[in-house]
Amino acid sequence: MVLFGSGKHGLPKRYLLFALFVGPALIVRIATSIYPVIHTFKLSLMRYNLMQQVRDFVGFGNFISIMQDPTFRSIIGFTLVFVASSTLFQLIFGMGVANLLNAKFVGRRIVRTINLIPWVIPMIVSAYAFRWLLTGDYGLISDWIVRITGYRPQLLLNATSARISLIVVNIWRNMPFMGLVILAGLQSIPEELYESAKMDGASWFRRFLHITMPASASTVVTLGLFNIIWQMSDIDLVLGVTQGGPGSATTVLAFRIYQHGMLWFDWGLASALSVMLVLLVTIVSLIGLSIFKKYQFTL
Amino acid sequence: MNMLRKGILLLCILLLAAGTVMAQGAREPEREKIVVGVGGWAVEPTQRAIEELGFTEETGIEVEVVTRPGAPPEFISQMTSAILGGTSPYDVIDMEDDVAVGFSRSGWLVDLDPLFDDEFWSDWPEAMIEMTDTWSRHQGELFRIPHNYEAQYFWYRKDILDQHGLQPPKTWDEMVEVAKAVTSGNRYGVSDGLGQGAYLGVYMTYLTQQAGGNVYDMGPEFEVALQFLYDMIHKHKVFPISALDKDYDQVNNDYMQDRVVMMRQWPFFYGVARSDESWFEEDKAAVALPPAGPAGPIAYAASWGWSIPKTAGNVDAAKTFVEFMSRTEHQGYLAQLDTWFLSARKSCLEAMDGAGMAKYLQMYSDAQAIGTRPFHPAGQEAHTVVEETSAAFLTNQLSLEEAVRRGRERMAGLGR
Amino acid sequence: MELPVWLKRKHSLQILLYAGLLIFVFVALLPFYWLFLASLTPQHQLFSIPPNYFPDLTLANFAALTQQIPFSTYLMNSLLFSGGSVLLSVILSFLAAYGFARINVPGSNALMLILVLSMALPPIVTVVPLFEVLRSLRMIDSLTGLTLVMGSVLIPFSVWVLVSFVKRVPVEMEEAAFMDGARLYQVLWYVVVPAMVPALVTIIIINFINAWNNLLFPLVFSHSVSSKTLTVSITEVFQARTPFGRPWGIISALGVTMVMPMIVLVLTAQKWIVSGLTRGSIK
Repeated sequence: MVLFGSGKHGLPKRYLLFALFVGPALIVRIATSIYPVIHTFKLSLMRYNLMQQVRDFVGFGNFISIMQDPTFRSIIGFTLVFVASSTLFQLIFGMGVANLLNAKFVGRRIVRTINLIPWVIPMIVSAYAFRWLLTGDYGLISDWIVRITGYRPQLLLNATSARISLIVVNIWRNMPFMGLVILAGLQSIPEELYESAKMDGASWFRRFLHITMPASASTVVTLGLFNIIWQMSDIDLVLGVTQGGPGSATTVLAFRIYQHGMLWFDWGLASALSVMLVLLVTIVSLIGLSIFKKYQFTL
Repeated sequence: MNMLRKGILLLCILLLAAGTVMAQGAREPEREKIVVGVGGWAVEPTQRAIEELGFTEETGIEVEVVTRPGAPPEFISQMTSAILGGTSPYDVIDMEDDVAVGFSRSGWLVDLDPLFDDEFWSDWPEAMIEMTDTWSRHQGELFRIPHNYEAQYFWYRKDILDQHGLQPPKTWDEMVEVAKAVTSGNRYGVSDGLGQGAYLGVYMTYLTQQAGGNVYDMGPEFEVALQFLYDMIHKHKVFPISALDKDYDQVNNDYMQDRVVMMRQWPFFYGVARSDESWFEEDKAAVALPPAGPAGPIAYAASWGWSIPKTAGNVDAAKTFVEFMSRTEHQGYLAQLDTWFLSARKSCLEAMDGAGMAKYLQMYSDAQAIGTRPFHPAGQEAHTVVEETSAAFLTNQLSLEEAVRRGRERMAGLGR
Repeated sequence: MELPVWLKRKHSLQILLYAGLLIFVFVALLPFYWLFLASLTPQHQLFSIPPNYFPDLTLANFAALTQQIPFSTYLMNSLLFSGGSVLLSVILSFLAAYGFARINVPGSNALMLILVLSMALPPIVTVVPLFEVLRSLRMIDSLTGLTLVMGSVLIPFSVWVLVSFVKRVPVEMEEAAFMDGARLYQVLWYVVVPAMVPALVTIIIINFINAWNNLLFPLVFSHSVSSKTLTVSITEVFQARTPFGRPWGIISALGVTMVMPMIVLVLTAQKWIVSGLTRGSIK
């Protein structure tokens, strides 16, 4: 599949050509993403606070402050729970959605379109909509619960239910994308394969396990992984639904970075938290990759 | 397939064209003109004031009044970006206390002292000068000149209390008793807008001051105040837990739909209450002194004021504007135009002669019920610590001791 | 004996399917329905307990929206910002993808891995240093700067999808074109691009949606009307004199106006998105 292989063109010429094609994208990425992240590592070792007008080297001082913050452990904890449970349920529901959308029924086109809607609504808008649905006094969902149980819930004013609500909203938002990716896997499987498996008397579950899964796994793993990472660095959702509350129960790491960096001017500390987020993302990626090693990471 | 290629080409051309047009637009010749950024609610009164006071005729400076983002988080983000970029979207900004303090500590605001002489300050009462020194000065420089002076008022439904033969409460205990008598079904005795990232911190500051302490010390007075609010919510059940999820618009709405009997609110409620003519009667929005906590009846005042960023495009014209709007001779007119410009300046109170909110300002002032807002140099962050600490206890995540212990630890860490 | 059981089973499956569909559609659309309803509800009916399921309908929220923010300018900005980011990301990604797929040089795979993995760098982490980058380029508060940053964010995913597409274009076509004496740019424009229309359309649509919905960059890097987008305007609408008030009615109206173009896009291009992703991500 290689057009400019080792035969006709010399290595220097190929490098020149390669640089012409790949260079622009790479330069843009380095300038706006890779360099800033490296710079963030540097800032994380500095006391850099716009409000106190200081900028000096403190070594690991910022990291020590973070460790001493009594809310930090719970923030990391919730970030992990948020990502892990969101991913798990997105996979489960995504498979359900994919199978649903793959079935033959009247109006399939419209339902597939509807599937995309949660994904195309700006996150901040759906976050506000959910806040509005869940709010204790005026919310639609609260009203249903009152009508059914006679008890008025304050879903966003209890640590556990607020956390669950946030995770549910996140699942709602990302499920369609997962569903679509898995659907892509389903559709790539030749019909004959299913037919012959059916003839051999394989159950629905066995067919799913041995035909569907392997076919879609590598895509699911790759996209799923990136999806997890995006969710870890997203702030729109928390900003719109809970503002991190009640207390700091639903504060995720990315939101704390936003608070420190953009609201409290403490760029040194924000950078140190950023470094931790990058580390966390790396760890999660490595774990993900090793678990799904056999399905191979597709590039 | 050809269509796509044509489409891409067309898009390129369109974007180039749009870019050129916009670049042209930016190169228009500069006139003497300033941009004044105010909260959306203040755009109209500010415009009217400029027009009716004849600012442009007097100075030849044109003014464009625009909306600044209302909530501090977004506003701070955008101003930070602007100032670091060496520009500012506004020449003059109308700013609240805590945000202005943050910007002043960064050294971003112009010193306004030279604009005002001793005669100017003689129009100011002691309490306002004291507040200005705390909240509008840094290292001796005046970085903001307040244009209002807003105490927090205790609003109550006189009609409902009369029905029950009750007087407005004078102490915390009386407030609980009165609230118990009037709470029923969907109606709560006391409420407030305490949504997080908003005003839970303000209310805790208010209560802690009534208990005799400074909220940022997180001392025993803070614990007393927090326990009091907790009891109103969970023990006496006269204060809806849902208040922790509400903003001022919502609690005002609750009040005006007869679901709240007493609440603390800023003076803007005066106009809000009167805007619903089918609902409003004098007795439905009466004002009393704040119920006294252990340290007496006290409510701190806050203010909004004019600031000029150092990166503003036209600092001199902006100074002219700030001086003009702060002039003693204009205060009476401004206060009559809108409560937004009501302060306790002598000229202001004289001109108002007890009309509108001035009556209540006088009443609070005479009773010495107006306190100074407690200050913390880490402003917004300290405020967030107060809110997270309080909410953790109020929503039963932590015991009072544990919540406050963690709160103190975090407060101590702020001095890093 | 067999037949009735089989029939029964099929029927129950059908019922299950439609029940599942019903639930799915309901869940997917609920927030949007609520948003839509709130945008048409008069302000004073929004805060009723229990909620008003059949409010008097009004367009007042939309009117308030256009009064409070320079709506048409923001709309134009959003379009330019999204369009520009799409253009930048798709052109650069297409070239890069072609380079990765067709040119065999040592280190190419590693470079691609780095490029694609840079997708994992959280944007929030880059914001503080980006101030300095953009300031040195004089691109704070400019659509150009925003477009550059957003376009860059979109590149890794686009490259990742496009590479697999380029690899599936038969290389013989290009070879034949070169034999006939075509120049490289001609081959790209007349052979490769037409063969990749579905992939390009997919990527254009997906990137457009992502850019259109982006809040973070315009929120932090723009501060004047000339570069603010619709997502940011949510922070500017207000109800009464309360900085922290979230005026649900107006926010909903804004939400509906932002969502409408996306829904039209999905309705018309649903086939492209689904089929593009289907073929793009599976080898």
